[in-house]
Amino acid sequence: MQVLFFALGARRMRAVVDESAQVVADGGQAVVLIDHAKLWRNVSFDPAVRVVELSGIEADRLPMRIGHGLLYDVPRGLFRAAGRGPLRQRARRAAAAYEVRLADRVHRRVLAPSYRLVWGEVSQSLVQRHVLDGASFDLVVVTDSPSMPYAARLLERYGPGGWNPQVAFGLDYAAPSAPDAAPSAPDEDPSAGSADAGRRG
Amino acid sequence: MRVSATRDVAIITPWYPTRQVPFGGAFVRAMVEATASVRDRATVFHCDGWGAPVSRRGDRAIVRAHRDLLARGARKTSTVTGAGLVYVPVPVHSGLSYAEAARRHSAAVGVVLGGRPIDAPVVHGHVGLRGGWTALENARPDARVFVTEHATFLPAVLRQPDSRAMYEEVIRRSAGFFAVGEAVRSVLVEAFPQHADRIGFMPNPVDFGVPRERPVTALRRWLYVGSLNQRKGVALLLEAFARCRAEDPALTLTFVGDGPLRAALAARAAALGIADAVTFAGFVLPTAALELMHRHDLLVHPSRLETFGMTVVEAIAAGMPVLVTRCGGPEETLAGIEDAAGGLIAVDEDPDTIVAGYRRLRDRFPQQVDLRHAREVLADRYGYPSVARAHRRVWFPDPVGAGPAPVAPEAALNSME
Repeated sequence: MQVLFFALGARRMRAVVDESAQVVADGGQAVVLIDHAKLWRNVSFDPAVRVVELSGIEADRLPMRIGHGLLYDVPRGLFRAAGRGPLRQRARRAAAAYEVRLADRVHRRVLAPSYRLVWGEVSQSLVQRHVLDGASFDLVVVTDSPSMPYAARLLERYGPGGWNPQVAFGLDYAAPSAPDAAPSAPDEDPSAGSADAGRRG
Repeated sequence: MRVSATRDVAIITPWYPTRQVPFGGAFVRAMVEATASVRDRATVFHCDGWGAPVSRRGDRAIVRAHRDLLARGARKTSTVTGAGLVYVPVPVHSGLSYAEAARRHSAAVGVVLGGRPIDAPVVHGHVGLRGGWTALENARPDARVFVTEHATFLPAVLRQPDSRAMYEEVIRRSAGFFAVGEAVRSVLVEAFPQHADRIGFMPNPVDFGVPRERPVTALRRWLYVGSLNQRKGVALLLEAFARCRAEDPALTLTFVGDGPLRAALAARAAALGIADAVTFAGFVLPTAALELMHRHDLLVHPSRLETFGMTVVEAIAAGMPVLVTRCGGPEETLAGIEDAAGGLIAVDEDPDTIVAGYRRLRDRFPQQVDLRHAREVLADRYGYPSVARAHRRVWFPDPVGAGPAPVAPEAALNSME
């Protein structure tokens, strides 16, 4: 089974790491689409899981290069210029603090979402080229709310006649993969009671 | 009021164990397990709030996309005892009131159901806002809706005018409303005195099925199970442990769980020179937590506030004594068996309170601690059969009589025998 995890919000890391590891342990392929690798620096993915950083593949686009220059390159130059001689260490610390406390946040919360809002089609073409091309994902797992608009637009882009994977909000909440699937499992009416045996398992 | 011939139940809960939070809502899963013998079918709707810091515009985009994805991605899987499980993510963000969040939960379940009501004669919601409201809004017209309140954050809910008004409506519209203990019930009765006689008790069930093979002989291996946050008093526990270990270097402490204080606790343990005696096990599955209880000697639970204190009862069920604060739930759950179960201590900000409590317990252990008796009493109060009977009485009352009257506090306690 090939599974694409949308984890742009980095809000449920434990589940994403655990579930992607299970996919590869079960012999499948897992690709995790994240936004900023920095947010995931304290977690370790299974080596067989492919992690794709969306902001990384968007970085070459002109609007993002301009934004990056204004947010990072220009301030770095200013800190370098101001931090000569005895102020060098202090300027380095200030630059690092600026990037962590301000630039990274503005990039995550303003620049990247704005770019995707205005140039969403371009962004999704990049995902198509870097992630979907040649792959055949059976299952898309949406793991946090910031991923929802992106995942919904990407799925919509293909339409019902195109790529039409199963969508789930966690590996445990997906229908079994095709060979083991119960005939009506994916479309079962959730308002009906289950065939609960009424026994403790 | 109609009493259905079928014993189908839908359970609406904002908490249920997931890979992200394996401990979350373990008490709801226990309720599903415990009540298996008194119902035919059950479906759990786990409405999981997915929070994220988003702008207003971002939130609107998420809400739109959520609706599309939910219609496509929500399905029924299964959980313990063969009950159905429908996982329903609900996007939320800071700034939403509890009432607004409850409306989102309710709407999400509505999308999953395709606009149809929940097809069960009994719907049981956990916590008034959000589970109770979601249950009431999605139940079919003839269904009876019950609600159990557990939340430690209840005062915060009632401070919000819109949430308070919605909460009152939940109590008024439900067929039965229960608090998990007096710590919760007293807050509700104070807020809604007009409903005092409608608010009964419904305890959490605890599995007493797996006894400890060898009894505890000395209180050396301390265990804490729960979140590592301020409310749980874990920083005080670490300080107290360091002082006790200075007297007895054989002592060890294991923290099971995770939370915002983990790094600070690890750093403090190193600073105190006790890092080699303190283990951080992180989140573990409930089965692993039970195994850890079997390998430790004493549960220390210094929480500032608990509405019930599941961990305390679980520890005694696992055969270990407890040293626990009088923080609301525990003094109620351990009423009458305080000394048999271990020891209770005051809630204060002094680690020496825990130290003194430990010394007292150590000095009278094991002669003056009767864990077997404590276990029997608690099994009678909170074991699966007792709690199952309590649910059956309200869900599927005998057809004789007028129907399910809400369980008054005394009646509920009496019914637990």
